[in-house]
Amino acid sequence: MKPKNRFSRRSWLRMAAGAGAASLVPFMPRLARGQSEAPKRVLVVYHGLGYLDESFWPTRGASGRPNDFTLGDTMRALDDYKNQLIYLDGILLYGAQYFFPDDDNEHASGGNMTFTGSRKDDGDEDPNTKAFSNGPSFEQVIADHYYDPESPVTPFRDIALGISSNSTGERHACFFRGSQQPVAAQHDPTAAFETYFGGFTPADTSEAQRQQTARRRARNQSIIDYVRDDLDHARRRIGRQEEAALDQHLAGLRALERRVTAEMQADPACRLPDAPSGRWGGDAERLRGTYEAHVDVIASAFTCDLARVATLQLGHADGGLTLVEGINSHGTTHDIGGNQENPAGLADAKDRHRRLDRFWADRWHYLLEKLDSIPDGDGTLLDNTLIVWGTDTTTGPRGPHRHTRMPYFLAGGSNWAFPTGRHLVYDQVWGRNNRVGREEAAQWQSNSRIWVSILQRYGIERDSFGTMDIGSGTLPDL
Amino acid sequence: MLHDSHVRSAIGTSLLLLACQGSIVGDEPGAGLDPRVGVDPEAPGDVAPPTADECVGAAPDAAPARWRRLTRRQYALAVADLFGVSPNLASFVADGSAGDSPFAANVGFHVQESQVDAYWNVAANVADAVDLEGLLGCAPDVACVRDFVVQTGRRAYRRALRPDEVDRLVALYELGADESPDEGVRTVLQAMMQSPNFLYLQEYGFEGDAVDQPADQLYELDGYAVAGRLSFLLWNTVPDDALLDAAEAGELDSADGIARHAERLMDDARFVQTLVDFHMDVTLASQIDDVSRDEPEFTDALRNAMRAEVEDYIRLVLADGGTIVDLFTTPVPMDQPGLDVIYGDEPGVRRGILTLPGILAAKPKIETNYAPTYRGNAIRLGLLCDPTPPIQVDIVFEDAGGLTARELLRQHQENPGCVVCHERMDPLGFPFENYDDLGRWRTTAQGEAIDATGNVLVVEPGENGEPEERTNHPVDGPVELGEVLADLDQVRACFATQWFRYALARNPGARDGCSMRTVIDRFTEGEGNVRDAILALVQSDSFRMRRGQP
Repeated sequence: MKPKNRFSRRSWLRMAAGAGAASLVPFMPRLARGQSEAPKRVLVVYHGLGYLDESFWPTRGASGRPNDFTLGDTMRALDDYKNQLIYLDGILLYGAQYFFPDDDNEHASGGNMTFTGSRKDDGDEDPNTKAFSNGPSFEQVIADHYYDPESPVTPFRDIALGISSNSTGERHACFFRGSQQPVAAQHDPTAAFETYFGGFTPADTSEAQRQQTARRRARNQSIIDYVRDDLDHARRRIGRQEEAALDQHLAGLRALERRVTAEMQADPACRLPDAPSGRWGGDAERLRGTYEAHVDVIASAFTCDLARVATLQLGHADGGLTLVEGINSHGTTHDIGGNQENPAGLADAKDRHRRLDRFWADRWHYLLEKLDSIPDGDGTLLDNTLIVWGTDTTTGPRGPHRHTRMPYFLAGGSNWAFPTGRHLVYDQVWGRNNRVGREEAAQWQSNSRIWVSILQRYGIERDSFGTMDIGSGTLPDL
Repeated sequence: MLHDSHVRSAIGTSLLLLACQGSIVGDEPGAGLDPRVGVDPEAPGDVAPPTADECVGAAPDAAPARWRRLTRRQYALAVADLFGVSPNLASFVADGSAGDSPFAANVGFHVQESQVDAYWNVAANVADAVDLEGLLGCAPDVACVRDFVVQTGRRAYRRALRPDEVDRLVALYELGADESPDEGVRTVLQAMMQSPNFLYLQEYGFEGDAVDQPADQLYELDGYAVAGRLSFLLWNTVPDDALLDAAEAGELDSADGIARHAERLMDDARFVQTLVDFHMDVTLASQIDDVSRDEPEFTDALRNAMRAEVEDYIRLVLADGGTIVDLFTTPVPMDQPGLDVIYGDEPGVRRGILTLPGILAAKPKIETNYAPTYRGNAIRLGLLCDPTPPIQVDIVFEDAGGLTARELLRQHQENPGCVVCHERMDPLGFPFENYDDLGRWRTTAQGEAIDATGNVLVVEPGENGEPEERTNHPVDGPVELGEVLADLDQVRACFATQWFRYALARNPGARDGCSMRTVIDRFTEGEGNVRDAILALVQSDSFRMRRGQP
């Protein structure tokens, strides 16, 4: 069944191309730049605590070939898009405490390490500061690669949205600009809309409104200048330790300046979405609406080439979300751990986990359908967007909060990334009692391998990624 | 080796349980573990602050301070105070925190685009909502706005504005006034609310223009910086004009002057709210919104009633000069509207803050059979300032179902790999076994009579390689536990540490030893009067001075 075009219910507003001739035009429409090829986009989706492995993974068909597989029980909602998926079966989230007793990282550090391949350690002795991952996450490296703040190719460097993510919390952060710098997710879809689309003038704006907008922009410039002067003044007085914080504030101000002082222009074909409305939050009723609003913002922003990298953090390693029928993800994983010898309790907890997993599969379907409904270049937005799903821990044969056989999978992006519709299986070496110790770990593929593969495919030459990378090169067969 | 704060803050409640639950799979218990690995040597309780005698005649000192940005609460209250509009902060990035501190603190943590954006959007929304005539008290023109900038700017930036700063803000008014006078004023408000002079505490310790901060040098803060510290500590908002007048007149340049003004600030209702916020954070009652329970009666309305009761109780106990002993022993009125479902016809009277349903239900956040561990750990961390060592073992044990928490957790006490940590947690939680996971009174669990005996273990590190000193305080039930905690020096010292963190957004370091000593001594004196201890804190070197960063 061809997914229906959800945009058809929305107002289709063309963005003002060529309007407001007097204002700056810092962002040329993509097509006007003569760029016929659609940009390569990357969307990284995190949700806390993984899946119940036994019903998540696909099974291979009789042929045994990677493209012959049936989806796991809880992922059936994705059947429509099976040929867009790539399962990476056999990845070790390298460096978690439970494999390596001399390692200080604990289970909720998995989020710090997932997309960074780096350990949670700030390397200084100041007990006042938090410790975060000591390297960037791969998608931020991509953002740095294509986005030059002095002459930006897109209006925004990246888009970071979340739901109950605590995205800058020490134990819960999973996206990083660099060492110790977690990416702060925007949780409010209304504010996200204002940020990414507020700078555009709809095509049907009157001349009087345009003049007022131009005056506002001049005024905004003066406010920005005032704040910048004050920050420059502060620089002379703060300690050296604080200079990076001040630089970051100035960088934020520069991005803000572009948004509020100049006319933004984008691909004439791109659509300004309706402002989202609703009550946002992380409880069960509001979660779906918030999620869909976030996905819509990302899809529209990608369509208009406002940014090429986006992250979406849903919950965190201590749960953070109560999703379906009051089921709390963290409580559920603990109940699986606590009922290993109690068949009835275990069955009940697993059933709850499966309901959570199906909930997520439905959400992933919404995302795939959305991107697939938007024409982009010669295909759809899905063809040009690599979606990466990752998580901090999962529930495997030894119980919850494990870092082995991580449920990582990809979708879309087939125009530039990898051939889709495959179930790739890697060696999974288990020691006594299904433990993976240091010796076994060396025989697994680590998460860093995936990020190296993606970076290379994006055109960034890297052989290793992250401060905990133990191997080198790409993920075989990907 | 990771540095200390990392190791200490890696103590998540989730992992405490993970290690000792499930089925035995044959892994070896962690023999030979050093339970003190990773403990911050600078944290009070690990290295005792100098004695009062040692501090006599000691040179003034303070550890370096960080540049701190207002917390969400401070920003919200300050904006409301200055402009009469309560901002909607839904788009703000969550606050950070310092080390093991339970309090919000934005230090060493960079502002990102999304927060800079949020500052912009909120400032615009606030400016749109302000009653401009009411705020200015005159029809906006250049003279009126100049007065406003001088007056309100002083409160917003917590110091008198330099003439050039006034001129720049007036120039912004004139630019916006091209559209309309009101637009001119809104332009000024937006600029003020986004200036680092408003958003960050200016604790440079010196005035003047092109001054580089000499590294590692000790400064006495000027009166304005002290005024800012005082008002953000005691009120969580900007100073009033009286405090800034005092700063300008040099009245905050002496410890006595500071004490006089601190007393005035503590007589204000805003200080009572600070007492409420502080104790909600150290007891983790402020986390009640994150709690999930299976019981259908655990509704938002019940949550709100629980929170309201904790707040009311803190006011009842501490608003009029209460003490630590009051906090742990005052009878609970048990008449909060909306809590009938909890109190029912419970016999007897609860005593002390730890018996409030809002605190009993705040831990654990999730349904578990391990409530004593969570409840005990919350006390260990928040009230004893003795973080449990990071977990170093992966031990799992039998839960065949049908066991009481005490039976289940017996394995924590019998397994040598578990006991090194759990002896610090579980016995602090057992005295609350008469309360279920919503804080309701019960006399049986899993069909067995409740045993509410427990123990407060105090471990003091041995000095110069001597063995650590361990003291046990056996208790039966929450009333006895409250009485023991109320009198323990370690608890009193922990309150000193927590107020230090609350006041300065950092952990006390070795250079803060004599400052900490004065605060600890006030807390350990008699019943531990909270106001007196805070007075000692604001007069201490660490509060009045600042050391430049190395």
